[in-house]
Amino acid sequence: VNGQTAEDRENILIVDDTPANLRLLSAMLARNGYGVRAVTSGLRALASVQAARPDLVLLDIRMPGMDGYEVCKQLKADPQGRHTPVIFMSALDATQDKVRAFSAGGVDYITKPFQVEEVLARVETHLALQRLQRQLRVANEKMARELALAGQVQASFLPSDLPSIPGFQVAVTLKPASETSGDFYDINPLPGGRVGILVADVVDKGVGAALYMVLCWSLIRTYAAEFPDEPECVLRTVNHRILADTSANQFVTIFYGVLDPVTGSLVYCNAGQWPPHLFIGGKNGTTKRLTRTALPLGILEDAGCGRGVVELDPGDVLVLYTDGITEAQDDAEALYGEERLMATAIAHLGGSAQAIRDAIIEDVRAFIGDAPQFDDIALAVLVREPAVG
Amino acid sequence: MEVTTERFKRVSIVRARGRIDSSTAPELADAFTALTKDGQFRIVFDMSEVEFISSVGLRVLLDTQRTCRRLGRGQVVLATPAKRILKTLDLAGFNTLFDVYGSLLEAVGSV
Repeated sequence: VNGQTAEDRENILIVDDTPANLRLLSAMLARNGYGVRAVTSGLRALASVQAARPDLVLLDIRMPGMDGYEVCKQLKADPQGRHTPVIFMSALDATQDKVRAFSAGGVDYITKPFQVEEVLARVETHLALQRLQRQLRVANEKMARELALAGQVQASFLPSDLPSIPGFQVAVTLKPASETSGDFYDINPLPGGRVGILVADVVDKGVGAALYMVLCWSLIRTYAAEFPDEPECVLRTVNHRILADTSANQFVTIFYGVLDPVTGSLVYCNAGQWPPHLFIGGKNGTTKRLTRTALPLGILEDAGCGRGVVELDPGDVLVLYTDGITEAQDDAEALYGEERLMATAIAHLGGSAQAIRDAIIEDVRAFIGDAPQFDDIALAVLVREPAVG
Repeated sequence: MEVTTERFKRVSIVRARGRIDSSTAPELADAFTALTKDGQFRIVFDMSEVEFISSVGLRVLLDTQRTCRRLGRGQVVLATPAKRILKTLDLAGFNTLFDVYGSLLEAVGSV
């Protein structure tokens, strides 16, 4: 208390219609280093709070005109006074009066006639709580701002304009479950007219996964340019670097393919990603699942990495997705699943890449219903445009 | 999810029932850590009543496997996973990182 200036002194508003009570409380609190304002009615109390927010209110219940319960309700409805703790004071000592005081928004209740030590102890307790809550609010706001910023920084890594691929349509989407994402995609032009197509998922979600994701993304970009026609070399090298450079118990599942837009051939590695679906020959055609050719990255140093090759003919459609779709849950914890995803895509074959993407996202959303989105979602749809004529 | 641990002289059996996802995986991790802290590195994970395992759950298995295999002192083996769980293990390639057994007895005998 000693050495405090008027500015960092905590201010208490006392509301009581009995002048003798006001004088006694004011003198006692002022003696203990608090700034004190005293008013004799509910209306004056509300006006006083509007003028300058106190740190705590001591509020009599029985007053002519507006009673203490009503004052407290109005105070709590006001954004300015919402966080101000209110301690009720009353000669009423019935349980139901106390219950009513708490339900009106009070934090504590002092029975008159009061003991000086008791009032001081309760006031100090609630001021301390209030200080902690304020610190927590400030810290939370700061964290929310930093998270939002992290999300923006991360989003800036993803291609904002997809490169145009002659003869192909591409549509992508990324829906993080929180501010930042552990899922990512990339559509990356490579030397020789080829295009790198990437969908990946770092285990878990949130900031840790997002940082790891940014590391993986930048490593892949680097080595994709280095080995433009050897996706298995890209992943092998990235795996090596991840294991050498991080000690995190973390791994990432990746599908990375190199598309030659002229021939339609896609050379790919699937390191533990859910298998992309290649729809061949339209609605009555066949579906090929591009299954695993390698272990997820970040697990084993000498993990082998195989490759697969498929051809996309005109009209064929490739759908790449993360487990945020197949493991999306409805209210009853049922999973969306690969079959439903496949059926939704097939129902919309013939549409544009964007139309197929939108139909899938809409169907997943309809399936989830009111349940919260649990995991990040990444989705990419690649359509080889049908031959003209 | 519920986790129980049974300790025997040579091997321990960890059983999980229900869903292993990001909210329940830490509990499973605690069960494994309790064993490895005590020097129990031969672990059978009975998956017969596991309904779902997310990648966060897989990471717990992987961490435990790394700890147990260090210095060749043991390993984690998986017993009797349901078909759906097998598919998850296969998707991520975890069937190459763990021995998977169709019976608990066989798993206990081999670890």
